[in-house]
Amino acid sequence: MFRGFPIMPRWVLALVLALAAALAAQSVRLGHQVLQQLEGLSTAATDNMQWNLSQAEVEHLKLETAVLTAQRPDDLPKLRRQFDIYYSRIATFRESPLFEGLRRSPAGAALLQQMTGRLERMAAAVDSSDQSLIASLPDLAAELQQNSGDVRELALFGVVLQVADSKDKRLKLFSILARLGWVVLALVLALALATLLLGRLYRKGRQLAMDRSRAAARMEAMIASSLDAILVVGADGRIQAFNGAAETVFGYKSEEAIGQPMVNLIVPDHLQEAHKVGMQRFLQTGEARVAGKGRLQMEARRKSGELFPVELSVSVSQSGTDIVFVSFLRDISDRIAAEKQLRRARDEALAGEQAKQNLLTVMSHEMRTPLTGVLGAIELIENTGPTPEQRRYLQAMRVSGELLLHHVNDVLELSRLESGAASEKLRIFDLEELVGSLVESQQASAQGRGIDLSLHCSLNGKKIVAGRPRAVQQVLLNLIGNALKFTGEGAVSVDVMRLPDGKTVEFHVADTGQGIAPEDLERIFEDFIMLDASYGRGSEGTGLGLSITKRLVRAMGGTISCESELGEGSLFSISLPLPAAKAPPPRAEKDRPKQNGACRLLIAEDNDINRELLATMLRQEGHQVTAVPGGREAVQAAGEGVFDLILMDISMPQVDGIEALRRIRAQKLADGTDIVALTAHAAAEDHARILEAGFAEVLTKPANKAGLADVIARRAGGGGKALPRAESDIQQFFDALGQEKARVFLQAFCKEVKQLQEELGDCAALEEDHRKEAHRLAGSAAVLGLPDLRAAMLAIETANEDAEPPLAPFLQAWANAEAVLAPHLQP
Amino acid sequence: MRGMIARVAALAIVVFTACAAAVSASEEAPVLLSVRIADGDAPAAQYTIDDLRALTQVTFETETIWTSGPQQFTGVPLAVLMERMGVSSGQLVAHAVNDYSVEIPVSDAVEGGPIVAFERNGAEMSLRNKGPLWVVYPYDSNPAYRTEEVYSRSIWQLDRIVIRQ
Repeated sequence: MFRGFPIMPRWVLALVLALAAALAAQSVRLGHQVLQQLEGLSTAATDNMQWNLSQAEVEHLKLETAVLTAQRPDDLPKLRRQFDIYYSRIATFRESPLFEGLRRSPAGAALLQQMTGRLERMAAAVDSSDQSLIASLPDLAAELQQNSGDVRELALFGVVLQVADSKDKRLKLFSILARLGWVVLALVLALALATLLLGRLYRKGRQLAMDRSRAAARMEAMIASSLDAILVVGADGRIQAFNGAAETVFGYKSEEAIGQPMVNLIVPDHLQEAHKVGMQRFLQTGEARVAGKGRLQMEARRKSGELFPVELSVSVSQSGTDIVFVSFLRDISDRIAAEKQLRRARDEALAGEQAKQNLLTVMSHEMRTPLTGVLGAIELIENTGPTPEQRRYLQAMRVSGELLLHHVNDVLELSRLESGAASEKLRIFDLEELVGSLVESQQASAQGRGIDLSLHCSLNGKKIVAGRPRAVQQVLLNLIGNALKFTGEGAVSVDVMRLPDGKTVEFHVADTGQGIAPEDLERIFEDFIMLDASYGRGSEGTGLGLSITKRLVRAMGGTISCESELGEGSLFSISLPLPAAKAPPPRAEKDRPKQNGACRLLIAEDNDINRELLATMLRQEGHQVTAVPGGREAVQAAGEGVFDLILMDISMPQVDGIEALRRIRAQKLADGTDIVALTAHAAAEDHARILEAGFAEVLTKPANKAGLADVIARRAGGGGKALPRAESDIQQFFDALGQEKARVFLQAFCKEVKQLQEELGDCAALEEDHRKEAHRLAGSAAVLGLPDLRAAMLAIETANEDAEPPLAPFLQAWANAEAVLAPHLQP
Repeated sequence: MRGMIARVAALAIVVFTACAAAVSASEEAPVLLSVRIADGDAPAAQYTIDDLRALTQVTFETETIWTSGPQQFTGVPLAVLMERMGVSSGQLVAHAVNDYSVEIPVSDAVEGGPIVAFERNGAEMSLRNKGPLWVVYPYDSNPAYRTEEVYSRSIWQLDRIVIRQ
């Protein structure tokens, strides 16, 4: 009820009371007027006038009597005095304001004039000598006789005047009384209203007082039962309230604490000064750094002197000039300890995870370089015309090597995805063509296994899409590969379908293979999952395929799911956002003259052997190759010749690949020509940095022929020529470079190794130059098929700063290598 | 009509005293005012104009309802006359020459109150001019004197005062 009747009555009440006061004043004034009027009526305001009028008649009669009875001179004084009295009456009529009305009325004025005239005539007679007065007595009597009628009329006039006057007064009184009535009525109403308002105010006040006492009781209970310590501190810094929780937390009894300065009790010594300064500042400037700033963490002190962490929230309560600080404190020692423990546990876990990740990445990377060396060598050997038996062994080696490389790549891909590297930029491509050629490429494998691989595309004519083609390709390849792998004999079907929303494309890869048990369905997307032993036997793999697939799908904003029935087959479904796009304009190729697929290539690589090997491989494929040993030379070559593609090593001495690219682009030396990076850095962030610098793409060293052919085909518009099989081995090396050149390189290599050996023997600790040299020689050793020597070199490169250089394996490996190389050093 | 008989009787007394006054006036200044205490043995105090002028005089100016314009009155305060009679309470009955009479409470006789005026505007007052003596209150100086009651007490042509204690 009071909610609906808010603060309004305060000014209304004041207004009403003021009105009542004004009305009361007015009624008092009117009442006074009424009293005056009543008094006037009761004392017969015109008594005096009436009396005067009637007395005039009386005195006139007396005068007449005196005149009629006067005979002797002795009677005259009495006559004269009586005349004087009569005279004075008439004079009053002429002078007094009481008879203003009489004098103003024409009849009254005429009457008075007539009587005054007679009076003057009689006065002349009265004032004369006794004899003449006696003589004129009869005249006087006659005059008086005439005058008596007028005097009578005058008296009647008075009556008329009085009636009019009293009527006026009555009307006046009536109107005053009426006004008084209204005023009193209004006053009563105003008073009634004021009473009503006062009543409401009273009830409201009582309600508020009750609310307040209830709230106070509740507050008391809340403070008492609070689990947090609550302190109320006055502006003087002394404690005013100290609840039960505060007693528990700080160890002081409430009686001990109240009235004491808070700073002495619970603020640690090293914070006391800051506290006092802060308090001073707040009281002077009102600037608070603690109060009202929410939760803060600080240190507090118990009675025992122990310091402990608290969470603190201070608010300022100000009413008038009275300021109190209300502090809520919570002992968070336990929480802080638990947090510390958790943080340590988490840090350890993260560090362990990171170490595992690093180990995997480094291991894989370190494995890949020699592996590609092995594979390259196998390819070269196959071209040397081996016997059928050798060819079979080589084939087995190649298959094993490729499988191992695949696994290593899986692990690297996983770590690359894990580190969140932006995989690939959005491109516009033909989805139907991509899927078609992908399925086509797997047909041979499918037919080999007796599987019917079919494709059904339903893209509603919108086959040009915007997306990440390589990721799509990889995902589909993984799924189709899996399906083929786990289907002994039967069918694998690939369905591509655009959903009605126009943006999403769904891919289904279904097989009639062995299927997956329901309890395993959840696990297949986890890392390193290989299902049961038989499943594992039927196929090889790291167990990373599906987890990579899932990561790729998620990175593209899609979803992947799997349904399967054991013995019946599996269905993998992917939905990816691949909105339809307009076909890009055909690539401008006017600057790229092609000669039967041959391209003009520029290679910048500081490692002599790698450079020569790369150049030889590419020349064997029919390309025109210009090879330079550094960044500066690359810039110069780019300025002198025209190239379809530049392959650039990143880490080169002096001018590195990135700097060289910057200069080429700045000087516009090779506009329209892509520059592809060659790097041994497999880490995702390195790739990002390199792409950011302006490289078209990154090839990870050592690049195999297929990768190079692909890049050249895509970037230089060339390639596509059937590649003759290359060989790797010292012999292949000789074949590639030519006998003379290869021998010179080999001799230089031996000399350099020996030189390093001598230097290391002489010095106590490894120097930076030694490491670089070892790195360089390790690369050459890999190409020459000297794995022991390479390992020894890498050991030197990565040996600890202060440890003894690992010379023994180096010497051993070099002794073996020398024996291998010796026949080739002589012509 | 009520007091016709009384007034006729009073007229007889007036006629009698007037004759007596006329007899004595022939030799000396006439007595203008006599003041006596009713039912008392004490003789009446008699005042001629010179006797009155010898007493404390007061002059004030005021308007009245019987005259037009401000009037200056000079006379002896009623309080002085009462004091001379040793009277401080009761009623006094003032009589006029024509036997008009009015009661005035003795408590009216205060300093700054009514006077028995013998001069109006610097001249003695004739009988025709409401003289020779007139009880006048200073109507202008005190609103309490501007009432019908006080007006009725303002008796002119005064010649006797009888005090009833």
